[in-house]
Amino acid sequence: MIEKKYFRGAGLDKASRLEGDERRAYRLAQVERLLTKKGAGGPWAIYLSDEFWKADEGRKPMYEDDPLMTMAGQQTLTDEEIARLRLILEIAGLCHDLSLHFTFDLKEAFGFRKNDFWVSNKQLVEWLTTTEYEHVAMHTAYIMKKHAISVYELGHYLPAQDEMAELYSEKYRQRLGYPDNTEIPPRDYVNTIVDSLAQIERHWQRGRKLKLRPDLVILHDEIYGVVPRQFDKVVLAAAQELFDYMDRELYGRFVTKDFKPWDEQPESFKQFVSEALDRFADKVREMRSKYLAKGWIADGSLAFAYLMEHAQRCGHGWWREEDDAL
Amino acid sequence: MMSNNRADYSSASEWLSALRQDGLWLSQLQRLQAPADSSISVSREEIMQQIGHGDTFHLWNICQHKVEPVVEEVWEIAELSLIKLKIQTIGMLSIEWLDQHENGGLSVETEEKSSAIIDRLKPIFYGSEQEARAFLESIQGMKPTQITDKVNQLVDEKKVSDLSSHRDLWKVLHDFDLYKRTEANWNMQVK
Repeated sequence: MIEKKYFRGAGLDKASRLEGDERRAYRLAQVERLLTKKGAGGPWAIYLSDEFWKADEGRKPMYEDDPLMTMAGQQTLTDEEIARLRLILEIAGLCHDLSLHFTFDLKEAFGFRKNDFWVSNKQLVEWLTTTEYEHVAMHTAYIMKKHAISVYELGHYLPAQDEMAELYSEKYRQRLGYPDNTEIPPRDYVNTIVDSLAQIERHWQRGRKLKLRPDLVILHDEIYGVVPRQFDKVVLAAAQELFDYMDRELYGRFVTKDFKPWDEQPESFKQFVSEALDRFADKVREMRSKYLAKGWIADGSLAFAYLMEHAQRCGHGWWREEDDAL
Repeated sequence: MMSNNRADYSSASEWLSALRQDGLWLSQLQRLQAPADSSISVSREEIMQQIGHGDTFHLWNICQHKVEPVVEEVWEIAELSLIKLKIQTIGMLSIEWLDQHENGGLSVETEEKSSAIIDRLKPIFYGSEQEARAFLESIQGMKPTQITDKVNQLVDEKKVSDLSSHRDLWKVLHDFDLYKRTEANWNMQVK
């Protein structure tokens, strides 16, 4: 039934005997077809995935006793049927991960050397921006974006996290929504994500070249409220002043022996933290008037809030993690 | 001071409740309540910049400027930092506040204006506030000739004094921009 429903006229029988690059090309062509063929509730790729797996990460079977997924059930099939089922499962697996935006094995799916969704994977970027399977590329780019957001979040690099979370296409004057729900053409959609990630990556390469500490780079970007495309000398000087203050006055000051949620902390501790952060806020205002023009880091702005959050993290001991440089 | 750690909240609405008590929102509220010409007041343009034009803005438009469902949705997507969501939510709450208070202010102003017109119309309607109010409501959106036709009808019905139907009535309507043409024009139309 699955064969008839999803692969009628697709030459599945012949394709099930293919190997290597030919098999991979067939798989991708089928996934591209299923990603573009729309049903009432979404692309057919997600329907095919639902035949086998739940929508969770890790391909968990939809039905525990599905005969197509159990050894006992598969033993009742002929060799030809098994070969076709194997190919269907390969295609459905990729449909699952692409439609639901989970990272997958790039070596197996695309035949790449590195299984790495970071923008520094040149082979991946080259493929995404040139492949004929444009919808596979769109979904893969979206997975790259999602992966980058979680890495930035883990590294407390908020300007980059938020820039990618709310990525906007200046050319089309619209946000980059889900690949299934965008009017941006596939190639431009991919390029917008790849270009944004590459710009952030280049920014960090410049930072490393200038031998800037990661926290200093992040402070510099927080002052902008976004990830800028260059390092500004004046802003760097301002960031350095905050860096020195945080290193001297804040680092580790809010660490307590017994970890308790904020609400359960004694009033004296809350008062101490609050006063320390108020002093930092004053330091930011002092730095603002010393180095920056009117309009920068206004009280209540996103930039100000980023800096305050950074100060708080520093107080809790998240500081100078050079080894975890992004 | 509210926590910016997502794990400290069991739901988006709990986070939103905490935000409504947070110093950053309370100081924004103070700025909203300040007179427009004061140094701490905040403009609608500044507020829109806080919201930006990304996913949150898009959802906010879809949800017809209702803050809670937007926060719940962004919370569920879980890609945006809580810091940015906080700034954006303060922006959305600010617009909500402005909409409520500007509209409220407008209706108070309209009510005051309407009361002033009725005070001046009353003597023309033989002291009847009810007739004056009914007339005022009936001419809303009327063309000038329709207004003068209405006045002629009311004169015939003896609801408006013949003497007051010329200069006195024209002046009230003209003063409040309800009839913009000249007195001569009025007199040509009113019997």
